[in-house]
Amino acid sequence: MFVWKNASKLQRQVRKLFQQVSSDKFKLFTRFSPDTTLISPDMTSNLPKRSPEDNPMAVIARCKKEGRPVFVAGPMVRYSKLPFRELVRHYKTDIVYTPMILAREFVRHENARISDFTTNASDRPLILQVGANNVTDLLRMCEMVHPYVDGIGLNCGCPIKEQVREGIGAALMSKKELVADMVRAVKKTYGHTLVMEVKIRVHADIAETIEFVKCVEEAGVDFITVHGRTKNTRSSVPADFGKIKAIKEIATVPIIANGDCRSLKDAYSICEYTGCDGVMAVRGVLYNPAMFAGFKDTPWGAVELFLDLASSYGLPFRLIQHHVSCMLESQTSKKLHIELNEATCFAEMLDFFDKHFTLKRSGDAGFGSAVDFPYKDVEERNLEDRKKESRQTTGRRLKL
Amino acid sequence: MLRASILKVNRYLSKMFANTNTSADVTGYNTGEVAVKRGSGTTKIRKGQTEEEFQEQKKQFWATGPSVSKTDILAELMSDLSLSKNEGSALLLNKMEKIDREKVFYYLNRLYYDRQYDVCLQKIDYLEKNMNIPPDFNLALKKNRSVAHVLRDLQDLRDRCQSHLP
Repeated sequence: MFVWKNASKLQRQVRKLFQQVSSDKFKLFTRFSPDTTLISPDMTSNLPKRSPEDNPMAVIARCKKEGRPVFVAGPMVRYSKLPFRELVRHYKTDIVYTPMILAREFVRHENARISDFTTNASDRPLILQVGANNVTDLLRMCEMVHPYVDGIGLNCGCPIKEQVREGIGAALMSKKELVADMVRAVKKTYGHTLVMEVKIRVHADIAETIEFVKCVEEAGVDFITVHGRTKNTRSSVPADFGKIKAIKEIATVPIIANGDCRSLKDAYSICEYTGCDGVMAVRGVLYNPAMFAGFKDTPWGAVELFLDLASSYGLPFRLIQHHVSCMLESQTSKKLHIELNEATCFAEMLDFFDKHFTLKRSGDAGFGSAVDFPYKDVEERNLEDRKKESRQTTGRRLKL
Repeated sequence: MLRASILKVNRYLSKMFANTNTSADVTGYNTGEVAVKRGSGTTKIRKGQTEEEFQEQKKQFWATGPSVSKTDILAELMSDLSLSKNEGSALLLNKMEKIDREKVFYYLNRLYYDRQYDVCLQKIDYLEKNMNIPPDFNLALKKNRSVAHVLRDLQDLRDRCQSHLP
């Protein structure tokens, strides 16, 4: 019975594969022929049209004019949702990314669209990062979202095993022709109306990365973000800024450096060393959303603002908890941090804050503006002061 | 023995076809059908999407636009769900889609954040009453797990609201 079942399954599979071979063979070559009529969608969402000022290329040019690097908050799976995006914009971040959204799911399922992409009128400049492994899904995704974003970023750097196996993320680092085809298809369809960015990692052999960059530049990419680690480098190993510098030297499009940026000082040092046009922080902004505004640690106001935004727009509790936990890390005692992480619902977490801190709500005087943590317990405050002093003497240093 | 041979042949065929790139051309515009590798080493074909199916999805997305979140969106939503304006109509929390149910809880959490404990308590009472759960309803059963979770979360929030009220 088992043998028969498997044999027939095998037969079906073989037949299917042969059918594909024959149909592919005789298929007309219909490259880049999507429905490209750029009809405006029914704007029932009441979102204003995209402004040319929010075009990422205009932002990069503006920052260059101001003589400073572009500050970018990079994409984080699960965490770069709308409340967090609004929070980092409040603290002088120029360009913000959505989390990576899988094009395949987005263009096929309504539920994926509802849970993956939420926006509003002030959510700009915004780059939507896409995970795709073929031209069709990417083009269809662009066709759906182009009225609601300022740019599309193709993720060629995600090292997650499950995605790489699907040919998404870092798997694309070994398929430069495919990436070039994807970029070319988007640029051919949308021209300058939709900015196309590619986020890459470096290869062990820099010559390979240089080849890759030249290939996508030729295809028409607008700018490139380079992460200074290879697909297999662990995050504990410092990013290789020498390689980013080498790429910047040959590139003709703006380059954004990514990796190990944890403070405003780091951002300036990285840009000075590599000569890049801007810097992208990912973990840095997760732990300190106010870093680009010059704060060394998360100011208390950022915690208040985030809790207000998250409860106002709605965000799953575990995501809120993780954000707040990161913001508070190394700023509170271990005991308080554990208590926060042990909360099982949003109300319990709020009770925790009201018990130990003075948490202001929107409308309260001084809401969102405090820098120091307003402890209710004097002992906790003294402990935090001691911690701050020790952090200042044994501060982490960026390796360039 | 036979099973092992069949699996071996299967793996070999998948590999062979993957190497000869039998899947649709990923560099061209087609249905988006692609061959991907599984953890076991075999190849799986991810189905494509016809142009008609895509146009249908696009039409749906453009008709509503993306989810737009703004301040007080939850309160607006709840008034649509007849929770605040028309207390007479039913809101069946246990029959809702998960996404909508989450929004109801976000709304309750926002009331808690705003320290409107009495209003939050009223809403919880209203939601629980409308669930119309029969007395002999077995919450321990696996199929009733989501209802049990909803009731547990409502009860927890009720206790917390009550602890803040005189």
